[in-house]
Amino acid sequence: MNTRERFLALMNFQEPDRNFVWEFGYWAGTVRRWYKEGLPRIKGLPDEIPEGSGLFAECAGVPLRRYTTYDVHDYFKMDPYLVRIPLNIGAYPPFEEKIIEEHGDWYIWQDWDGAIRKDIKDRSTLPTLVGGPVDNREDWERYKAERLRPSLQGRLPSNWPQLVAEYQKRDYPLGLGQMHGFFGTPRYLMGVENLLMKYYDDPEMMKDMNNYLADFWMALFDGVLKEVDVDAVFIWEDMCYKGGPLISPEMFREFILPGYRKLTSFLRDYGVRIVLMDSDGDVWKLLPLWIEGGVTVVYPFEVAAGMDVVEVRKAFPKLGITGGIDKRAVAQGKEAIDRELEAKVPFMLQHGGYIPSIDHMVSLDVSFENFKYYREKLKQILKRYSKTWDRD
Amino acid sequence: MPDYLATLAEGVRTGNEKLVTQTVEEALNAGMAPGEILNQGLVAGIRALGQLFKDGQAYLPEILISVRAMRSGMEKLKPHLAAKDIQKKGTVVVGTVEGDMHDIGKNLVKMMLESNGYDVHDLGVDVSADSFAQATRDTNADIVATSALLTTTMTIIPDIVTAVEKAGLKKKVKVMIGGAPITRQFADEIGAEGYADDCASAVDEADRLMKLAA
Repeated sequence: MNTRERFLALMNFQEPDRNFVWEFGYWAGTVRRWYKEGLPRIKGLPDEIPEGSGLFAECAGVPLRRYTTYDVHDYFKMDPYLVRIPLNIGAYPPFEEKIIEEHGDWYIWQDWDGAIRKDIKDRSTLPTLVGGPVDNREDWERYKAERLRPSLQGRLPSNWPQLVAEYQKRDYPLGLGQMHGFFGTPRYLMGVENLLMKYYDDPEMMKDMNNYLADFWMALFDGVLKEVDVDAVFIWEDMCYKGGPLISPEMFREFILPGYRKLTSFLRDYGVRIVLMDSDGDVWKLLPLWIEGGVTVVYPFEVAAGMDVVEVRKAFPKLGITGGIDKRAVAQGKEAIDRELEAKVPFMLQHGGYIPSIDHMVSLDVSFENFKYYREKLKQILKRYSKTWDRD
Repeated sequence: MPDYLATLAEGVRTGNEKLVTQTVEEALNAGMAPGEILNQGLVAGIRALGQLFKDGQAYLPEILISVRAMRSGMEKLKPHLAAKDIQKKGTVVVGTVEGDMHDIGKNLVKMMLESNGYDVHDLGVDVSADSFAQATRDTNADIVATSALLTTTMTIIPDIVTAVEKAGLKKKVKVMIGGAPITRQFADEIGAEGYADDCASAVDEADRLMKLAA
């Protein structure tokens, strides 16, 4: 099987020849630490990549304007990436990235979607969203008209025709979608706290936002799907924390689910049946609703937030799952790694629809030695449960 | 006389800002004691919501609109309140640890503590251990409450415990922690007396710590 065939087989609960040698990603600071601990620096990481930037790896695909690490990919002989089509599905024209306020060692800046973020100056940690360009109906109407026009003009790279030709003869899986979603994108527009209150303060605007985003993305995807046969669509929400969802399941059903239904129904008409949902935190309460909305795969199942992929598999036998291996166990050392992998991976491989990886970006407390041990141990388990193995 | 207290509690619980401000005014005009309006109306409402949150029956949007309603009610009530009406439970210094910009959880904890009778001094984000200790001394605080979102920034929390100790405040002051990677076990390991899973539990935990100190 090639990578594409293997991905489709795994995510459709068919039996693949073997599972993937894939990871979700790493913080840039982690990879810089590993360089000091023995990871060969061949391609390196540009200095401008902040320590707190996520480097997206194979199973997450690399979103637009985000980074990856080929040195880790090559060293561990990872399988080829799940590739994201470089289609901008956010603000176009983009906002000017600029600093708005400076406060000692942190500052507030505006990103290309217009989101207002608070960040440490050395960008050694994750920024937090504090606001955005939309506060009321008038702002929203302006944002739609100016930044979310349903046209591919300017949203694809200039070498798009060559990419189409390459995609048509590909042997790797291809996906549409960026770091956007029916909750995720409104969060860029308003900041978290404002968004959470807007569901009460202006429910009609929130419903319009959901409906417009569905129509907008369908229009963009339609233009691409007419030219390229796509395997999957990515949705990013990050709408849970360790206490559960940020909004109630009832609120999700009322305000967000309609967008999912509309979009995934459209995708099914094009034969795109794999819909990948990225959300951190304790996602238990939203899993049934995501599935109802057409999501078929969820990741990365953060163990620290109480997620256990074995329990998820038992509760949802036909949900595709990626991730679920506790990064904290990999930080602890060999015994913890052995326990974590043996408790989860064999069970998950036997039940299908699973691609193993660490449960989020690999954190800075994971040594290169521990990560190597984890990858080796995981490889042995994958080998044990594969029909064939060609990754030694 | 209409049941102003029940209306106020329900108004705060459901985040009905207009109902709360209007009812506070009506209750005052009817001669009701400001302390009663505060403690048996507004505070009762926020407590009811806190319980619903802990039971999984309310979520963050409900907390946010409820606190907003309570604050509006307080604004109306404040000019009429005497010192004896406000039963301050204690003083808390809050902030996120150095290097951590994620303040949503911290803000929610602050809102819930204030709404439940605590005097809260918010140091903001990216607060050094020494700044926590200094502010604790300056405000004569009872509790230092801090949070970290990341496994990398949680490693700073022990420095705050140490800074409080070094400032000679440990006997009086309790440290309460929370955030995505934080557990009760971690709190125990680093000598932090308090741990809370969420903003509603933070109020219970602060109450418990105040009893310990008493």
